[in-house]
Amino acid sequence: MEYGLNAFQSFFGFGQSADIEIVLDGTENRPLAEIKTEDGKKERHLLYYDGESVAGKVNIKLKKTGSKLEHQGIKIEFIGQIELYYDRGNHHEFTSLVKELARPGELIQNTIYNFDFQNVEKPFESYTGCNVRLRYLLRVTVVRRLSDIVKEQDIVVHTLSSYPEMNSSIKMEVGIEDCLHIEFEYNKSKYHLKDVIVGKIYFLLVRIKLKHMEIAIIKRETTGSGPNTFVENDTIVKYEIMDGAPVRGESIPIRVFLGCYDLTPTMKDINKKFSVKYFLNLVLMDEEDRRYFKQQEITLWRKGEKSYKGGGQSASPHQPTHLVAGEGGPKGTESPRTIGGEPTLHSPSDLPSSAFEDLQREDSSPVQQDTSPTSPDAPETVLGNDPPPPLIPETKNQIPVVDSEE
Amino acid sequence: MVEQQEKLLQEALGIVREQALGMKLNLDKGKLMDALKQASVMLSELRTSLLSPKSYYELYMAISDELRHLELYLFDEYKKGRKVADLYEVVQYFGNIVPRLYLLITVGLIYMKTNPSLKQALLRDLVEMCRGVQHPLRGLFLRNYLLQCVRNILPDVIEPTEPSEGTVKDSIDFILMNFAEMNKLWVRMQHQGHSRDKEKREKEREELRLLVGTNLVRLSQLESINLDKYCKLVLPGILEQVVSCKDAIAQEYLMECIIQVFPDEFHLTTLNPFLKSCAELQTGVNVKNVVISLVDRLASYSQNCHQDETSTQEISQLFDIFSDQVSSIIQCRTDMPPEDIVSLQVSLVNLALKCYPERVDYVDKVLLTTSLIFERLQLTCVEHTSAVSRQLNRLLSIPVQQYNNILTVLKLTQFTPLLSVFDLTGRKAMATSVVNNALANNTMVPTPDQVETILGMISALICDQEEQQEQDPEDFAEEQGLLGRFIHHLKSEVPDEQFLILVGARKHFMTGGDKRIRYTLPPIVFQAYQLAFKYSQIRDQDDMWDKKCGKILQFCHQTIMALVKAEYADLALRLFLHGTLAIGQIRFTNYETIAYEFLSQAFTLYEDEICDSKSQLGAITLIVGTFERLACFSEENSEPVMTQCALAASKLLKKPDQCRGVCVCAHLFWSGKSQAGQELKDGKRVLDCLKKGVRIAHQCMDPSVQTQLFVELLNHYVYFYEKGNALITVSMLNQLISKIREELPNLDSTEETEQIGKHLSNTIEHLRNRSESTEADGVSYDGLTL
Amino acid sequence: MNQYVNKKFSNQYKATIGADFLTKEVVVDDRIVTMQIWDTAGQERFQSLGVAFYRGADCCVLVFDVSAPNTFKSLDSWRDEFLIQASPRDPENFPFVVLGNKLDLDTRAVSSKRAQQWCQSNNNIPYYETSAKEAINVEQAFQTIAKNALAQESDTSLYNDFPDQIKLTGDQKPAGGDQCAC
Repeated sequence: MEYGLNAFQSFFGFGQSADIEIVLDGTENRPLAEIKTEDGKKERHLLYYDGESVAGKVNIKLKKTGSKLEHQGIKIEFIGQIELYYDRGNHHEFTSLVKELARPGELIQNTIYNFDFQNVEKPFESYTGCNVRLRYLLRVTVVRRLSDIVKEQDIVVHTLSSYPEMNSSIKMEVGIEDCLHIEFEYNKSKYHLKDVIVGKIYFLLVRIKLKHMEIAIIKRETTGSGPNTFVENDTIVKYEIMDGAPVRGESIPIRVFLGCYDLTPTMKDINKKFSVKYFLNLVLMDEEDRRYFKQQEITLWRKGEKSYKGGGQSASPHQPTHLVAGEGGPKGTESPRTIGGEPTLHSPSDLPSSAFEDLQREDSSPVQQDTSPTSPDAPETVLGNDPPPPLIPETKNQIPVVDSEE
Repeated sequence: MVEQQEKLLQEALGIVREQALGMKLNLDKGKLMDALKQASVMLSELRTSLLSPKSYYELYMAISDELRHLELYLFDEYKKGRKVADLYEVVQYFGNIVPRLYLLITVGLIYMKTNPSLKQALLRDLVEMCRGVQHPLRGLFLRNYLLQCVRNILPDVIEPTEPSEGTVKDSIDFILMNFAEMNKLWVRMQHQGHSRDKEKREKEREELRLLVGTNLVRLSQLESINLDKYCKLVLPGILEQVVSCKDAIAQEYLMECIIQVFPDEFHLTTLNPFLKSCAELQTGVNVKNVVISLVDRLASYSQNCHQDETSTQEISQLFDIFSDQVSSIIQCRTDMPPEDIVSLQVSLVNLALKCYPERVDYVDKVLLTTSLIFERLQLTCVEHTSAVSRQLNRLLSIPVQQYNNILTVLKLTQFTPLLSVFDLTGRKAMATSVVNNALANNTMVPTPDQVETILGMISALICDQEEQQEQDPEDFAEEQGLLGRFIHHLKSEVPDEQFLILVGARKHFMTGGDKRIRYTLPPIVFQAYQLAFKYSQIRDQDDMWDKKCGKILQFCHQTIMALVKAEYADLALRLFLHGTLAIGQIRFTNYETIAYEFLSQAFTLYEDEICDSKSQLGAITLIVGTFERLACFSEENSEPVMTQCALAASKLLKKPDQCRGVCVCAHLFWSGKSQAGQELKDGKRVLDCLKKGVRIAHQCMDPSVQTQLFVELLNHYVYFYEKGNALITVSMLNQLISKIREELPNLDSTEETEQIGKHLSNTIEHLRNRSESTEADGVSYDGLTL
Repeated sequence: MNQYVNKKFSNQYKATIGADFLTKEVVVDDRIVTMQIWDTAGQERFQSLGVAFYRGADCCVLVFDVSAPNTFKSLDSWRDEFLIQASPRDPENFPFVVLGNKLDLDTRAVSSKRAQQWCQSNNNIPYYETSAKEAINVEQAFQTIAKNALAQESDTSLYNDFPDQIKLTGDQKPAGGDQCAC
């Protein structure tokens, strides 16, 4: 942005008579964080957390020694703003603090001003998405009669969360009646950004020949409201977790390290402008390349860097936390955990196709909005009587669907 | 198809080489992440579904070779203390599961080597994560790689040096888990794909079995698995999986594998559970093969290590355990074909023979069991060509060949009863092999009881059976000839016993019918004559020898009469004549009467039974020959015999036979003996005979035959002349010679004529030699015209 | 093999099914090389996946049991089988080593002379008489194996910067003979 501003100024032919430099305190020690720019490039800026003071110095250097700079006052602003790309003109500022650095007057030499925004509230996390951008910046303005001299400096803000009080596992039984019943389990519903998703899939009934199974992490960014709602789904990663065709009784382990992907915390209704949600999409492919999937929302949160490094949970620094616990799946040919017994078989005629299906075929409507059935007791339901969550029925002669994820 | 495979394989191998080279170059530059990426590309070749198991194996071998480079590099890097945990995480970022898991295992190995305290957890983690590959071929190879990697780092101690480093218990759990998973994958192949490809699929499964078996090899390599652990943890774990997988191919292979890879000491102790499991295997499993290979191994084991005390005790129970378990296997597996049942019994017999050569009762027990099984199955007659028959033949042949002594075989009380299950051909084959064994080893059967038993055993050869059978006459002759030879092996050193043997044997052979006795009775008669000689030799030791000889001769008489009755007159005649000779030599009480009886029986046979002229001449010749050698008759008895002979000869139907007959009789009167052994030398009656011969010759119409007879007569004349019969003169010889010379040129020139001429010239030659000889022994040929 | 690599010997008979390998670092002419020693089942029926591991071998060790003449008689067929399967570039000069094992048994049935004659008539194959049980000659034999393998390897190596790996295969007795615990 700095570059853009300079270009703007030179376009109008006003040579700058002074350079402004914003030097933040503690540059050596403060970590940098990466953030994407609107055009996808990555930039690194100093990282701040909510409530931290933002302090530093503003250097104003006169271009020509001995010249004077007349001004109507010098101020520094701390701004938090949301830009919606479809509404470029309007930046929604949710934070704006101003400090006056100098009363109107004249600068006759290079001058340094200290500033200090004490314990600034930074309620949201910096974010660059498809349709929206949330940024924090410091702006120094030397007010002049014709054109102000302005200097902006971005910072990155991470919002830290404490451990969620409730973090139950996600566990549910889904399937297509008489065809495929699985039970999946993710160990948590809320993951921090360096977390590991550990889980497993039990195959309770397999009557189709599967080929692959993968987990995709999907980011959904919703902007605007009402008729102007824009939804962008972005598949962050596809991760193969199974190769080949399992049979009834198999349990397939899941372990996905989140640390290596470009993720942000879940953001809900940020300043009534946008939301960012994450879903785990479990996708099964059969030999005819039909895809069946089930999406589950997970909440991502950012854990304090310090507590992360301190290794609060793991007792020994060498004991990896990312090993699958030994409980394993069913051993040998011993029958798998039966959940609510064998699903009752229904002929398609006496039960409308709504009885059990919960897996969606790939051609079905986009992600279901509900996140309801995460109760661990859900699988105990007698299948067919108390239907699990909705689904899109699969009709017999439906043609395999184009993979909408591609 | 093969070419296609080869092409695919070569393409894949090309990529492997290329990526591996890149990987190694990057490793050398220290660019680990790039190297790992290339390794993952290389490993992606293993994601293929196009290769056959063998081609895939080749690809896998090439790749695992390359992975060892990576492993060596990583180990060098990380043994200095670099943190492996991060690497263990990094390799899990790879999106495709097959390459990811291969890398995870490789890094996991380094992790465990550098941080032994994590072994327990990491082993569990790896074996668990591999569940992600459910494709049988890829999963089997992946898990095989896991097994290969951990082979040197599996905890192999009973007490842990550090708690988390694990003990052999962890290793057992790990392998058993991996084994169960591999077995599931392997079994699953059977049920995937189209049913028309079943054969191909089974072939592929057979090829892949090695990978599953390797789990058991790993277990067997753990040295701290002692007998206790094997019994309580290892074997039950394996067996549970084997039995519950309900797949015939897997079960048969794995059971065999258990037998092969674990030591005999373990098998000895775990026979019961192992064999119990055998009973529970699938219908299609050839349990017999499994049991047999176990028996064979333990049998040779026990042969090799008899000295060890602990094992001796176990070996002593071996038979009982096997025997019980085999019988319960047979009971459980109602579908088992009878030939398999029998071949199980074969293995038991082998076991008994190898481990307890002296325990005939064990073998007998097996035979009894087999009989009972046949009874239960209601199998009363197994066809010779059937598989059951072959197995049964093996079962019975083994003791015959192993003992190599039919006397031991005779101790098997169940041998003969079991024989009755065979059809006739089967019984005969078995009987023949028993007999042959005795002949080959020159085994003598020395007691009447044993004779009784063995003749019962081989009764298929001895007498007609219920079943009728067409038999090639030559085969029949050979078979009966064999029996004839065998009779000479029924022999006791004790004469009284020997008599009982002969009596008993005759009883059996008499049942053989007219066709057989021709072969079997003569040896009995000869044996009896020999026995009589034996008594004669021991007359000093046995007061009763005389009576016994009488009894034996009576026995012979009856026996020969049986042949007479069966119209083997010629044979009987000869046997009587042999008897006469024997009696003449032994000279027991009343021997003259009995000898006379024998001789007269022979004569009666001649008269009553021998009809054609040629045979009659032969018989006369035999009788004369016999009589000539006898010196047992008083004049009272000898005179009628001689007269009868001469009379009979002159009554022969054909003139040439008559002529020859009377010539033969001429010898009776010269060299026949008195009771004192003096030759008769009755020159006149000799000459009478010869003259009669000449007369008869003159009556012959055929000039050729006539001339031949003259030449023969000339020879007889010369013989007696040289013997000193004064009534024979040189002029008689001259007369005959000139007669012959007169006739000879008139004969047609045939081969016969030539022969006659030759005969004559030989005779003349003889005479010339004699007459020219200066030292003539009193016989003068003066006046002989040659 | 176990004796050489792990200094262990077991009298227990455990049959080899398939193929298995151990690795051992040896110093040959002041170089450290890693030897990969494959132990293969003599019985063909156990090699259900074929013998891909023969390929690229640098030396082949044939082991027979001096107390079992039938194992000695099998040397010819083992050798031929190896050459067919491994198809080395120069089969005439491919390095073999023959070990007559179980020297410790007093039931010797193949004389040293006979074995040596066979080896001489087959392009002078080095011959060692060993006892895995009593560790007689094992070390020496493997030294030779490593040396010959290395000579073979350097001819064919494409990638010389990397530590050399030598592949060995050891043939084992067929059924009937008992364990060759090498």
